[in-house]
Amino acid sequence: MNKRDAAEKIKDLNELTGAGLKVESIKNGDITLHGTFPADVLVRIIDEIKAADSREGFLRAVLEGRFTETEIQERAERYGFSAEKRYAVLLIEQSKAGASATLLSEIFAGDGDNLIMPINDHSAIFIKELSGKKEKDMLNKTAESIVSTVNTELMEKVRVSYGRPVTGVVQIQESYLQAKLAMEVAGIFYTERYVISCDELGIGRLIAELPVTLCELFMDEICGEKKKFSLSDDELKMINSYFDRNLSLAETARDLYIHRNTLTYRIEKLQKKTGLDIRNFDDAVTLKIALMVDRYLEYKTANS
Amino acid sequence: MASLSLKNICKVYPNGFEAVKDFNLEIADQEFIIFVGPSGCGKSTTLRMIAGLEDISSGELRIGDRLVNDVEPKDRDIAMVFQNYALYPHMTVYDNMAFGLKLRKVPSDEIDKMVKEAAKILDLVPYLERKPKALSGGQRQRVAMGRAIVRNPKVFLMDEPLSNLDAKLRVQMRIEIAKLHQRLGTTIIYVTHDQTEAMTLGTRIVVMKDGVIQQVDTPQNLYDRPQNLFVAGFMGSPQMNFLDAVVEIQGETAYLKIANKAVPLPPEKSKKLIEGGYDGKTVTFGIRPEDVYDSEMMVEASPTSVFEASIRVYELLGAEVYLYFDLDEFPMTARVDPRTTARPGDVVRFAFDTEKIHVFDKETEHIITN
Repeated sequence: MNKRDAAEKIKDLNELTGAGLKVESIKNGDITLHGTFPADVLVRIIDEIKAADSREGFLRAVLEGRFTETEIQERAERYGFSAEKRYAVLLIEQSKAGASATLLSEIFAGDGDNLIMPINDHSAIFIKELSGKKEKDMLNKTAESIVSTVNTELMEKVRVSYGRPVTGVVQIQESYLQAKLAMEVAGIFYTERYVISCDELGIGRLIAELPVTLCELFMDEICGEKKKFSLSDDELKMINSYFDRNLSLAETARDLYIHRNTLTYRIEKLQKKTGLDIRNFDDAVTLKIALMVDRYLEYKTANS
Repeated sequence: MASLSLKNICKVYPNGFEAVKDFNLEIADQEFIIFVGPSGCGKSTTLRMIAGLEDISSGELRIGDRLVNDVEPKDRDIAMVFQNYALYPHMTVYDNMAFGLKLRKVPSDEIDKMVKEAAKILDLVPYLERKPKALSGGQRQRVAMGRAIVRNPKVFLMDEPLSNLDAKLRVQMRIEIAKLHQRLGTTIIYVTHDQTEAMTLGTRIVVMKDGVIQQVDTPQNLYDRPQNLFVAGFMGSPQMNFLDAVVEIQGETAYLKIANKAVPLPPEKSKKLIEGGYDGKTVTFGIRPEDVYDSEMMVEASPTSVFEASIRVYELLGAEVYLYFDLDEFPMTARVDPRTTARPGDVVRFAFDTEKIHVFDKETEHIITN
């Protein structure tokens, strides 16, 4: 770095921190400075460096993808992570800000390489070391246990998703991204679930991976210009009941406390409205997917 | 202590899934009420709505006189015990029970009083300084309950708290929970899929299926007078025998035609079938295994309902024997005296107690004869 480059950098530093530093000289890569530096900013910088140079800081950087594979391997050993151990990431999301990370640390931290890190007031990451053959059962049990504990101890709503087990810290980001995707997909399509595995996302995963433009094209094809079915609550209730009962007219009529003929009449009315006869398997699949795509687009609009 | 009132409670998720439909129930103060039903029937969702862990889509929920639909879970004066409880492994029993209160910043002298009181109720005083590892499964479960008791709630909500325990411990803990209810005198709402647990613990049972209440009644009434085919089949183990029968009315008596035989029904049951216009229709005939007899005395006493069948399987359970056979191609079970001489391959004469016959509408599955 020459003196001019150094001056540019110091100028940036002054702007970011409120410092008043000037470059006096530069020799052997070391810059001699003159001026003032705010004490509180200095303390914050030291804290940041310390945090980054910790187990937690290291894992945070890994999850955020800030290290290359080689860098992870180099540092993993320093922080006591084995390259052979099995890990999985669980994502914990509370509806309200709460002390779930503190609470869960009391239960799970200290057991192997387990680590619980708050991301913000509402969510936390749990990196769990796995042992034994039934890894998925263990993960599911842990996730359910987290939900029960937060529900009973903090009396707060909570959802837990988890990614696939991986070997070594190098692959941990993969498990984290899977857990994140599971949380997002469940938030759109499977709102009734509290525990979500990345391996149980079904058709929701497929839709959540589709580009919005493609979804819009699909809706355009199915619903026309409006790109949306305008279905009443009663119609949606009938459709859901019919799908839940595996397209059985008798079961659906019983569930809805209506006569089978009334149900048939309503299905025909729906056919006139949508052009889809849900007694026909292909049409039933199309409507099911269209309703899911519609939900996905609504979610995307709300979160854009 | 508190009563609860659930009026027209519904739960519809944003994806359109209807978990609970028009749930109506009045729960009296100090009642021990059980929600029972198969997986996915909406029992846990209802419990979670009472807890405030699930929003109520429509309807009214009152605890005491207070409408609590929009009240935060922690302000509802309830406590919960779930099946997947986790104890704090590095804390003593005392600290495990105290931790939740500490998080809520309850003064330490109050915590001490509450924990010691709960420990006394649960017989955990000698173990207060032990860590969870040094406790048995039952003791750990009691600690989990202690965490709920220290809150001194108006209502206890328990979601399958014994499901993780082995069979022997489950029976033991069932007795403990019954005792606990007597000692605390608090309203308890208990969710289970195990009908034995429901029958033995509850003062009343709510049977649910597909988000809908099927029947609310005392354990005895549920067993003796099920309102529909589902309740009849769900309550009781081995489950009630069901087979198709055709109704034939002759004068004031209704006959059920089963296996080339016409079984006359008692006057009251006959009257229901005649009034319902079931002549010539196929209905579902139900009889509990203990109401099917192989003893000569019963067979002689009930000549109108005697059938012959070949035994397929013989199961000795010590105090009783289950005999499995087919009638009109429908599988049947008889719960008989262990001194029976019937063995697989034997052709045995069975008699039904016609007073105990249940007849269900084939289409609606509702009871006709109760």
